[in-house]
Amino acid sequence: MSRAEGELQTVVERLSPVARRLLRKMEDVSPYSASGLAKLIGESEAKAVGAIGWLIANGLAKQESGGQLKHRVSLADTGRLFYAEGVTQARVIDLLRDKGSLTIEEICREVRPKEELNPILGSMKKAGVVRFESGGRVVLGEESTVAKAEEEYRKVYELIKDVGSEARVYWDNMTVDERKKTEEMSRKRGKGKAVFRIAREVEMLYALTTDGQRARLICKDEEGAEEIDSLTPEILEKESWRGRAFRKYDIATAPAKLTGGRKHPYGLFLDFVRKKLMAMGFEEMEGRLIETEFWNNDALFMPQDHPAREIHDVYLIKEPKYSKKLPRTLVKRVAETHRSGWKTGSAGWGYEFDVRRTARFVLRSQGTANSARMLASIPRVPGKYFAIARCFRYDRVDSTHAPDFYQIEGIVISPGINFRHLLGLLKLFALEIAGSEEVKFIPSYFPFTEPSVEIIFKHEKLGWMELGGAGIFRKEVTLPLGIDIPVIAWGLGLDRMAMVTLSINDIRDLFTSDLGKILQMKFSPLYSYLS
Amino acid sequence: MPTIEVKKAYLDRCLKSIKEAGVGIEEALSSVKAEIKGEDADYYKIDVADTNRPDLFTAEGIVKELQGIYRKEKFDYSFLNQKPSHRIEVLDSVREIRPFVGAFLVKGLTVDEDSLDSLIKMQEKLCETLGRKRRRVAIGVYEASAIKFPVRYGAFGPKSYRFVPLGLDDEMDLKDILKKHPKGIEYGHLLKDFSKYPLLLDANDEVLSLPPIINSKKMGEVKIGSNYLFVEATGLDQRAVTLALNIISFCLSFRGGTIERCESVYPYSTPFGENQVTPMQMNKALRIDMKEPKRILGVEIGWEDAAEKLMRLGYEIHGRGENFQVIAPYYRSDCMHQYDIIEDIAIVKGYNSFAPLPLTDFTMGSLSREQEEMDNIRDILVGMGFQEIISNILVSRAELYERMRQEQEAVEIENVMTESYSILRNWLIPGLVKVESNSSQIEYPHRIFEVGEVVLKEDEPRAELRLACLMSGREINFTDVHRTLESLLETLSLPYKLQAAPDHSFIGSFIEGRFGTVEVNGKEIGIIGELHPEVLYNWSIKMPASALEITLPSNLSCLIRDGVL
Repeated sequence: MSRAEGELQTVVERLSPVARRLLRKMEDVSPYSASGLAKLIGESEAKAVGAIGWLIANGLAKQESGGQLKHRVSLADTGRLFYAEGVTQARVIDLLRDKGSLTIEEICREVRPKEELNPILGSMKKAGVVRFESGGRVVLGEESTVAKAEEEYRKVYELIKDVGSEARVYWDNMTVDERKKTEEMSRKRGKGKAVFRIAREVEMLYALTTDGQRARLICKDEEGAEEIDSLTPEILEKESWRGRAFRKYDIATAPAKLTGGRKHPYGLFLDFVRKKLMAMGFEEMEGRLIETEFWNNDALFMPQDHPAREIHDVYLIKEPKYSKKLPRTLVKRVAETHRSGWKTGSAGWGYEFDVRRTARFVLRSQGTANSARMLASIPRVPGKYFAIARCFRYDRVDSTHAPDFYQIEGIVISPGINFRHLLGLLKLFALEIAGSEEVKFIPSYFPFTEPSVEIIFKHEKLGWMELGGAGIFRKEVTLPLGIDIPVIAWGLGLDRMAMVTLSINDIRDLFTSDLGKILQMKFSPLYSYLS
Repeated sequence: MPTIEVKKAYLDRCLKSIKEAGVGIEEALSSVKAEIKGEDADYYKIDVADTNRPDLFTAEGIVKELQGIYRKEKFDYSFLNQKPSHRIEVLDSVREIRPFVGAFLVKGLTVDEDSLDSLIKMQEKLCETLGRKRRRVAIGVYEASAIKFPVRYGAFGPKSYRFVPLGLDDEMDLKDILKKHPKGIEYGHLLKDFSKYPLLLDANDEVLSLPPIINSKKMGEVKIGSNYLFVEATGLDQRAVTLALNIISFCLSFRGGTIERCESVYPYSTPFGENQVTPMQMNKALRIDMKEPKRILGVEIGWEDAAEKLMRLGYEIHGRGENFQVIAPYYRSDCMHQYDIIEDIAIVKGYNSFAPLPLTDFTMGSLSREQEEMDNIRDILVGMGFQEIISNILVSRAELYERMRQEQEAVEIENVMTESYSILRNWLIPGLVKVESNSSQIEYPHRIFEVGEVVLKEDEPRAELRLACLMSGREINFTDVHRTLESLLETLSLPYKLQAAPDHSFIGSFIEGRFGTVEVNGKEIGIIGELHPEVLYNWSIKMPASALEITLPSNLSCLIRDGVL
């Protein structure tokens, strides 16, 4: 049954580019194996089998048996489960990494029913990947063991994906390591169930039909006709494009990477917060990296022998040591407030204020220093102000502590505001900045506010997360700086949120000097951290 | 933020009834600003946020507060009105060394493993925090039945007395204890300026202890089974000494002990007079203006309601209506202002019971002038294909000086934690060079920039906003950064000139003859050049690089003054 030339032409035109490419390359008369076809077009076996499928469907090729005896790998029940939802063991590790410690019941709720999970947890315990703590809580074992196991599960999952998607079908074509793994995991081991199934079967072979041979020649001719490769100014000038075909690109081919200019992803995150605050009517304040003890602490009613002020929390400047430009009247009022409360109605801390120490240069340790300066500068009332200020803490530097970091904080000054407005503002922050409507208010302590509150919000995946702290400035703070109306002070702790958004685990990476890492970080303002 | 360890069994037992009433332990703890940070088989590790509430640094203090809030349980401290039953005589010799002492005794509380553990933990925690590592207050506990009263507190010469200190077996004189005993080594600096050392002695001249260092083994070892204890505190701050005794007496009384007060008799005057009886109520009555809770909290609260809430926290209530006054419990010293008390009312009411209100004042939002300018410049550079970098401001000396072949003085940190973060950057280019040294695997050419603050060493050190750009690649040279500068300043409408500057202070980092200053209106605003191969070598960079750095123009008052901007 042979078809007319015109009909064949239409069939060829409708073939997918890969199928057409395959057709063109099947020059041998002897039949090809699936792997042979894959080699012809330089694609995966799955793609080659797909392409030959097209040709068979159009009557251009046929299947023949009689190839070699091969081992076909497919997924067993457990394998299909892993293919659908990931390797159970890896999911347990992920869950524990996230939550720290969980009871077996909690793990079962998230992962698999108990009767399935028990033997798995048992084998993980045996391998030292998890430990059982008293009270029946499960925690991860040694990091090195866990990491090794994770790597192993990752490899297994890759293999499952390949087999599941039929990208790889034959055991005989796998690497030694993969062969070993599939073979191991195709047997029932103890209580563990088989992941793969290996069956012996005769390999399929493929060859062109007579129509196929003719169609191949049509393809060949097409190729031979004088196609235009690059469209050039000369071709346009001479109009020599008329009546000629263009070589077709394989438009799905991955292009080389284009590295353009970009703002820093963490900078974009801060810009996002900045815009949100601006939209809420906040005006940005400026401040100083190098502060005096006066603005950094004393004006905020932190007693000079406050434990948080000992040498271990703030970086001192070596030279020069003392500022000569402190506002005398304010220093006097603040000193008196610390000693006896001044006119604030407070009893004060009851100690002799050290006026020398208040002039000491330090690195700004809290953004609240900017707010204190703003209060003293005769601000607009009503007024809302914010700053995203680089601050420094004398702390051991590790994956959760950076030597310098951005603090986001501000104030609201208005005659009629109270604690309930403060809660309203925090709720607005949660909604606008964290995209969360579920919040809780918790009593908190800051030396400069009373009452003080902390807000936490519910993150869909990570659970309750800290959003920030706030309070109403103490009279001992506002009165000496010349403000006699309520001032709400707030601060947002967004570093963890930024890290989740940018997919980094080490806070030091926010300021990394590794260009590769910076290029990998992505920021999307659409609450990407919520999904 | 102090972290304390509390026996799980004790806390779970004490909070059982609260839990049964539907309040989880986490939620309950949040009302005393505390949070469980971890746990092991026996202990909860609890973070207490309020550094002004040392009474909450104890298990008993937390339990009492929660039982008050959630179960309205009252606690009796009428012992504060009792006459003292024992006496400490203070000698004039301690006046300049460690002038204050106070004490009390506890009867009827048999020390078991649990209470001993709690007592030791609270003693250590209070000495460290409220006591500022024993300088301000140090606390000692003794088996009381062996002590013959009155006790004397005085200062004596280094070799005047010998005793066996706790933890060792040999009798030693005071000097040797300071030199050789582990606690002497740890805390000896508190006495190093004195030729005499404080001692507590009983009426038989037996040494009780050498405060603030160590107890005597014979007189000052508390064992399980003891049921009569003597607790003393000495220090430099009489209020803190008294507060420590108040807190411990509260805890031991809460566990069922009967407190017997002690009188300290001074030969000199003190803030509490020549005779002070401890423990004592130091807090004064504070009048609450009932208009204030409404103003601050935004809800109407009657004085009866406020009184009921405060009594749950152990406040004494005096007067009513207009004359409503309260006295904070004797184990607290944080109530300085009526707002402190208003917060307590709000906490007992429950923060989540307040309905949030929106802010309604109209205010204009705006960026700072600095941020506006930074954003403008960031946009221009991104448009030219540059990647933005954000680096640490705190860096190492090597990064700023040696590797850059520089000596331009920067502001340094006095209390350095690690050498890697010991100096404030005084220019931006080293941060970009550091990026290059870590990024050779990324395809060239590289175009990177940073807009940020540098700190200049002046009488009043100040930060200045700068821009730096760096380009690196096989074909990159001076011309490339020159083109960038040209395009940038053209966009900013700033006519500029480049000036060769062979004697410039930053020349060491660049190749001579391929370096210059950027001048606008005759004023230097920056530098530009090809980085010296020695600098690249120092950073292990194998690719040529050129860079420029300028002060952001709006920062330059000279340009504004001269009408350029």
